[in-house]
Amino acid sequence: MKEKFNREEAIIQQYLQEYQFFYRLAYSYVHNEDDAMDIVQESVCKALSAKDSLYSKEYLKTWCCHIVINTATDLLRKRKKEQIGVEEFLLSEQGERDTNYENIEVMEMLAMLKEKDRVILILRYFEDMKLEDIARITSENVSTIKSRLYRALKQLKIHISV
Amino acid sequence: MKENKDIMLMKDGEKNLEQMKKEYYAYQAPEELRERLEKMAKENKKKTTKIKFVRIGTRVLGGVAAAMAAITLLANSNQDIAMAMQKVPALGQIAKVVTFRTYKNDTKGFEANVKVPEIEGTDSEAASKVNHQIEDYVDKLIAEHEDFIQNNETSKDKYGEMLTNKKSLYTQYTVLTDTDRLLSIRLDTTIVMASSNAFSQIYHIDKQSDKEITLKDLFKKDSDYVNFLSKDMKKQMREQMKADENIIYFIDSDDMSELDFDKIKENQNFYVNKKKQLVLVFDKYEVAPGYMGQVEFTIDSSVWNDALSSLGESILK
Repeated sequence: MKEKFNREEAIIQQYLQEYQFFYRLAYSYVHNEDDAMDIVQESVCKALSAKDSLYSKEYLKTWCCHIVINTATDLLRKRKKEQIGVEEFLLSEQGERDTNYENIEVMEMLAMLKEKDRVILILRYFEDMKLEDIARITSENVSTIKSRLYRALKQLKIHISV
Repeated sequence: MKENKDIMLMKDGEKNLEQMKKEYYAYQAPEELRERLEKMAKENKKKTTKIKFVRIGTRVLGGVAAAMAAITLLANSNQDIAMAMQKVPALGQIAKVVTFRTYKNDTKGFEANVKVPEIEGTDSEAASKVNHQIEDYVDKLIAEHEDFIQNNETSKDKYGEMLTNKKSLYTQYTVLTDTDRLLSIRLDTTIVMASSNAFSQIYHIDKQSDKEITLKDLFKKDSDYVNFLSKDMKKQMREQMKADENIIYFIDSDDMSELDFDKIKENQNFYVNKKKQLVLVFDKYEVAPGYMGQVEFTIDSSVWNDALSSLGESILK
């Protein structure tokens, strides 16, 4: 059974309360303020018109997060500049600097990862979300998420143990 | 439910991540975003959303085609389906594959473009059977799509929630093979919702016997083709995963083994490529995580020894 609550109000409040979280996430895709703000705003629109597919309050945050990610990837796809964007970003900000990871800024490091690996790393280690929630957000199973995490950490040369 | 072992971080790794996390949090949204969201919250209380349906008119080319289209229109009561009859210059062949009709929907968020093929110019029984199957297959896709548009709240993904109310449907067809003996038509469908799905259906006709054929017809009746083809696939999966860490198939996983690939379907989608090799086709999510898309495996002829039926031999040798 679908839970009954005021969906519109809950959705807007969710985005308002955690707008910094959604903004950071959007920024990690587009690397500029204006696009990141647009993504969050458009996500609210999308979420409101899709409010009936939100089954329970419990999933409000993962649901909203899912929409932000989709909106961000849509935008990148639309402009077909994802690859160029990342390269430009690396060139312009990193330039000839040495490749010692300690000297590289976090967004530059993240830009080196595959899109899907990056978002999982962010949600897990920066935003401290549970693997199950991340699985829900990315529509993938937990073991896939784990293998992506391993790969991302390995690529960033961060040592882990199981 | 199984308990998921989380990944524990060691000390130097943790330090590194902590540092990154701090820098990540330094990306603060401008005050403007907050203002924009608050404004939206206010405006939202008055607004209602409307869904606009766009009807596509009937487009008919040519006189003869017009008469045929009229008949088809009578047979088909669905006014939303746009027809486009198209002639394909493929003279000299018994059967030709043409676009029988096109279903289009331009409503924002519910875009659809479905090209429906038909084998025409032949009195072949198998062809008419396949035509019917294609019709049924496509009608089902279209019906599901229209259903979704009308009550889009009932759709859910495998977790039972969080689908944005958007869905687009695209179906294209390709004539994979058209030789003296074999005609193969492939329908590729992509459904884009919150995430996208892609699947195919391939139809084959043996022109000689005028029968529709499936994978089993390529092998002798008593042959164990499901098992030896599956076995070869598993071998290929393991080799590919070993060679490239970006490749993941659902196989040999420790904690999700119930989802692992076991064996192919008896009527698994397949086609015969230009080198006369057997290629098995899998839908998205069927044997690999979504990001791998639709995957195909080419099976080497050494796998089946002498298990091919006479049909199989004439097609694959």
